[in-house]
Amino acid sequence: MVDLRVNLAGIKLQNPVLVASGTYGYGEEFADFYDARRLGAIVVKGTTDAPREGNPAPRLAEAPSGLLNAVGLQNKGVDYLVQEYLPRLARLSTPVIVNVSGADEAEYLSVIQKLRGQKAVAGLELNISCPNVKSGGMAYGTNPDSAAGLVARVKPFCDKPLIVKLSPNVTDIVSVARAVENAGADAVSLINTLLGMAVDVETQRPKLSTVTGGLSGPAVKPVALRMVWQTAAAVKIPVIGMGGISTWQDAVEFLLAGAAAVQVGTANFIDPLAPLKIIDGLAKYLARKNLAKVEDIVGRLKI
Amino acid sequence: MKKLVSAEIVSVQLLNQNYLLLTVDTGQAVKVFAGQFATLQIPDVFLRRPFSIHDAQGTRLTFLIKIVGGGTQKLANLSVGQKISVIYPLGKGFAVSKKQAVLVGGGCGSAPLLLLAKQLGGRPLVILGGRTKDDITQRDAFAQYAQVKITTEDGSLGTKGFVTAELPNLSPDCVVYACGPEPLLRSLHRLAQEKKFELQLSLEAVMACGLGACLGCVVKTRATGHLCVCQDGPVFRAEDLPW
Ligand SMILES: Cc1cc2nc3c(=O)[nH]c(=O)nc-3n(C[C@H](O)[C@H](O)[C@H](O)COP(=O)(O)OP(=O)(O)OC[C@H]3O[C@@H](n4cnc5c(N)ncnc54)[C@H](O)[C@@H]3O)c2cc1C
Ligand SMILES: Cc1cc2nc3c(=O)[nH]c(=O)nc-3n(C[C@H](O)[C@H](O)[C@H](O)COP(=O)(O)O)c2cc1C
Ligand code: FES
Repeated sequence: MVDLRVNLAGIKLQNPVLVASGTYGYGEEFADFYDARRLGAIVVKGTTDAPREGNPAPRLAEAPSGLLNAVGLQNKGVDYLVQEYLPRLARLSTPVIVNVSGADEAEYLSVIQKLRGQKAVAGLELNISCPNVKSGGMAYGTNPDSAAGLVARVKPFCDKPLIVKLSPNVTDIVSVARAVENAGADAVSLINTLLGMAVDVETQRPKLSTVTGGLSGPAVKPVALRMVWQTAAAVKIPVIGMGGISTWQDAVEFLLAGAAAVQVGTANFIDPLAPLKIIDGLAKYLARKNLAKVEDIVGRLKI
Repeated sequence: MKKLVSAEIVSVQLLNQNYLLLTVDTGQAVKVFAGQFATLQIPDVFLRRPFSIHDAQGTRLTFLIKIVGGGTQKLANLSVGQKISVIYPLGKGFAVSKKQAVLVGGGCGSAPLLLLAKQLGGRPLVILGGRTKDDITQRDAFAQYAQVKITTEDGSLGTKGFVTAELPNLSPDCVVYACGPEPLLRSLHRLAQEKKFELQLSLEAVMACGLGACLGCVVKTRATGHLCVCQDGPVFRAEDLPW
């Protein structure tokens, strides 16, 4: 028997396949298709202190093998999450990681404080990489100093492992990863979406209301994989890899490149069963390679 | 309960250059309410595409599809016996009321109205509108369950003009169920405000998940902010929309 369990900076997962923030809702949207208990963890949508309306429609545009989105952190706020979603999520035994978002330091702190002591929450993912909001978000994640400043400020208030989610919209992701590691991050996750755009040639208008949006899906996978590989080589904390992962082979590529776990995002929209197929495919792969546990391939890229 | 099935293509019928009738066998009979839709994973197309359920009989689903781009063109080229991934039934359908019903469909917007006419019973009035006669595709199917009136903008079939040309006198005791291009829905919305009849509109939006998970397909509502067309709709009450 292959052992798929991983320990992610203290968060114990039965397997290394998580579902990514903003692509899985709150554990209920996919419930008709399979039991969410099979997932490594559920990362819920970016959560702010006050409820947010998000950006106007249109928010989606298809790209070659990819998706552009401009949702802009629409969410009902942390109080609603705590009162409504967390109790329901707690009934699944699956670990829940909350994606913490904010416009400024005070908002991030407020969300983190309201999540303190919540038993249903296994970890926090600090979103300093949302490209679809005017303030906060990516503004923190594209500069090593401001990223480290925010992490250092919020870390003392976190009673759960703190994962910092990095933006790919930088020249040197390694410098940001190192900065947040030094500031106290327990893990990093990457990548958030790549800034992109699309134009409707008939109307001569942008396809997204915000002109630019975040690109995800297989189109970003090679970029994401490269960034995960560079980051994993440079930091000691666990790296959670994502960006276009749709098959077990994609997941194995990220693990070999140094990711301790992976998240599946856009692939959920194409095939809701993608995360399960990845878990099963990974187990079979390890068995076929005569490996006992996931760790045996993490970072084992042969160069 | 939503189903994710690998459905077998039973027939692909080109109705004319631009319209296609696609029937699949899902292998299971599921109750479908008129106005609900399905998403189809078209081979070599990235995102699933949403289509209203035009008809549902036993284990079979039929879609009335207008060819508008790469995905719908590929659907037209599928062959009988091929498998296609289908998620259905999605969204909330029309709220069936006891009032006197008028069904209004513009182009492929007539798709959800066939099942609605069947489920309403009593041969309601259906007005099918289009730019040309090519947009009027399922006249005979509708005639089995409804009284059919037709309008075309160029006058090539039925009354020349917009669907509004064939609207009867609408009172507050009437309900209009409509689906079609946004300008059509907006003109009905204005009329409903004036004449105070009930109006239910089936809306479209580009979708990614179709399940209420991505929050990509939103429409702005008067009282409740952004709602998802896929999960909270696609049918909305006209008075809830800030048009
Ligand atoms: C709830 C719902 C029910 C629908 N029912 C029907 C139906 O019964 N019959 C029918 O012919 N069409 C229906 N549509 C529209 C249909 O989904 C689009 O025409 C189709 O997705 C276009 O795909 P394509 O690859 O051929 O076009 P593309 O090349 O992708 O684009 C062509 C045009 O279609 C629009 N479009 C692209 N993707 C979508 C999408 N996911 N949702 C909506 N519009 C899109 C684009 O904005 C563009 O204007 C429905 C849409 C929705 C949201
Ligand atoms: C519709 C949509 C909404 C998203 N919302 C969030 C979010 O709220 N917070 C966040 O950190 N990332 C968000 N993301 C980014 C994903 O979590 C993920 O980092 C990215 O999509 C890359 O992975 P993928 O290619 O597997 O989708 C969102 C992505 C999509 C497509
Ligand atoms: S399409 Fe994803 S929420 Fe509607």
